[in-house]
Amino acid sequence: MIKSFALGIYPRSEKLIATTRKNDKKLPSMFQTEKKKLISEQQKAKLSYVCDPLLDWNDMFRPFAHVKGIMLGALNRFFETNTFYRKLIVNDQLNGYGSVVKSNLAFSLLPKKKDVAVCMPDPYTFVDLNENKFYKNRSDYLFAIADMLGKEAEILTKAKVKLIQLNAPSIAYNAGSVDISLLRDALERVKRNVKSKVYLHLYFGNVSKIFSKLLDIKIDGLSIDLSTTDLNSIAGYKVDNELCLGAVDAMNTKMENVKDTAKTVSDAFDTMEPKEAYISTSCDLEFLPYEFAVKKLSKLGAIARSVRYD
Amino acid sequence: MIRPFPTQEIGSLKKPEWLLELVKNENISNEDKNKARNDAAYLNLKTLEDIGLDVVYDGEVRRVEMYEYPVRYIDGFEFAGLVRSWDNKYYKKARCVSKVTYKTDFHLDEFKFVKDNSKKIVKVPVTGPYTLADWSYNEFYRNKEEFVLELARDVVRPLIQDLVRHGAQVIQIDEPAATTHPAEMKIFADAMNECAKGIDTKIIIHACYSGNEYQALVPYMMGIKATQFALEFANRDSWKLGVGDDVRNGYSVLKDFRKHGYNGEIGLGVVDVHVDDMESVELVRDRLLYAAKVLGDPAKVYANPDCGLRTRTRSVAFEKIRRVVKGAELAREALS
Repeated sequence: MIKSFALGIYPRSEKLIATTRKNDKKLPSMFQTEKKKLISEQQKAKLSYVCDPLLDWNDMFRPFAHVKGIMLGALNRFFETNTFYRKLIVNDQLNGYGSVVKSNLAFSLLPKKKDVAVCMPDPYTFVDLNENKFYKNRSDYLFAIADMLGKEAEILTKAKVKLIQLNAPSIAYNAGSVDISLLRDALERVKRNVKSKVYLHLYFGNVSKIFSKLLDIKIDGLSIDLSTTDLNSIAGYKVDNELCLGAVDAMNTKMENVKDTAKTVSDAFDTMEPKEAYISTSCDLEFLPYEFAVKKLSKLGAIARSVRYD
Repeated sequence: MIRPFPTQEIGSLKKPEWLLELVKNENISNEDKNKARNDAAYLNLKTLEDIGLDVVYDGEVRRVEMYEYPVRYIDGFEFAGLVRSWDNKYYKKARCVSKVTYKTDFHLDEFKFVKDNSKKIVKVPVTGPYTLADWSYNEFYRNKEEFVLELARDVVRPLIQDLVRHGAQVIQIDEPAATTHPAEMKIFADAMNECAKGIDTKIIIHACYSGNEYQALVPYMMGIKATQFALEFANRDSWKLGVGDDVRNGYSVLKDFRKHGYNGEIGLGVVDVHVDDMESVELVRDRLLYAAKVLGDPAKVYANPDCGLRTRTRSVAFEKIRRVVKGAELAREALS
């Protein structure tokens, strides 16, 4: 058995969707009830880490719209999906951050005895998908965002969060053109004062060509979406840090075969020999309807229990 | 001889409130609901004709939505549930679980009604195979190409063939997903040609809001057997008057169309369908004149909204279309 988690925004149930459209007074309590249900599903699936399913996050950047110096912009397509996010506009010195992510999480709903994991955007993706109207160049902008996210991560560590996943679709999607040296500096700035594990989650693109360079970055682990990076293309690398394989496809309703997937993943870990091995979903579960997301959680747990890795 | 700047709509209009209420009412018979749908279709059609459009349809008043409606009638799909589009907006997404099969001409009744009641050119919007596949989960086909091409060959083409057999002269294949995946443009182009294979009628391809401002589409346009590409531009353009490159920045890709040798028709989006602000008729005129300047032949520049106007109130939608028509008149006057 290996460890597992499924971080990110989860889909809303049809009942919750209907309530969000009615401006109903019951909405805040319904968000709590529905979050509890999904946390319970994570536990039922025996995932190693639990997380807030972020049902009240409209997209991964939206909580940061409350940071001083940031305003909300127009709708934009989220990569090649049919889902849209609101672009943020950085138009002043960033200020008043630190507890943005923490204050948007329902810690009280998470079971006390379980390890908690949290996700937030990585600095490169934040910079890539939002707009800068204040900082004079890209590196100043990137480092300002990295400092903001680092502070957020520090506060999460104090809140006893064990693992922080930095969602990095832009790095994977633009793998061919990423400035690795700048990226390394930004990620190491995020990690600098953070004791929790920090993972970089690479999805929506093939990272095989930059995988070896990513392994050199001083963070705790990489998480790779196997629906866009062919496992065979990275399986030859030895991994000194921790490694998570996104083996459950969160972009397709088709259910994984537990035995086959567990074997594939076990074989890869045996060759790559990471310090610690995890599996997860390939990306946020919000790209699936509710019932399918719950089934995928169950598959994830079953696969994790079937993987052999010492 | 076709006059310069013919005018057309793109597709959907917001359904009248009275129709939505009536259709939800379980105490009203299906027969009466269908009569109400006919009334709403007639109302849309006559309003669009009275405004002065050259090419019309019924505002897709009988269709629940452009993806969900056709999927209901295609064997091989099962609805999976709701998936977020943005914030609290969701759409019903289906899974493809077996071979896709065309069962029945699901647009025939609405087309016959429009044809029988209109004196103008009728354009039938049909959701394209690439969008149907892209907006679905594929659990059956080995890959996306196989899925898309089978939808083109075995569903959309037979649908178009049936419509043509019943007298359709203009078909608009709606492909809002067209350029979402730049690496898949060949699949898209092949699918369009599969749809059009053996069809002897005017084919228009409508694409919108799928990113990269059609740069991915440009190299493929010449190879696609379509008479016209109807595209959105206005939402990216400035609202300043003039026909210079500096103010018509939203239409700059037209030069690339020309550079790549495209000399077919363009359905030019001249009003933004996502804002209530009204474009002036002079702005519409200048957008059309700019396109004619770049593309050469004003008879090949059709004036239309960027997309269907279903997100706007009916009064805003009809006023926008009125401005398309008036702007085209001004553009014709300017040329003469």
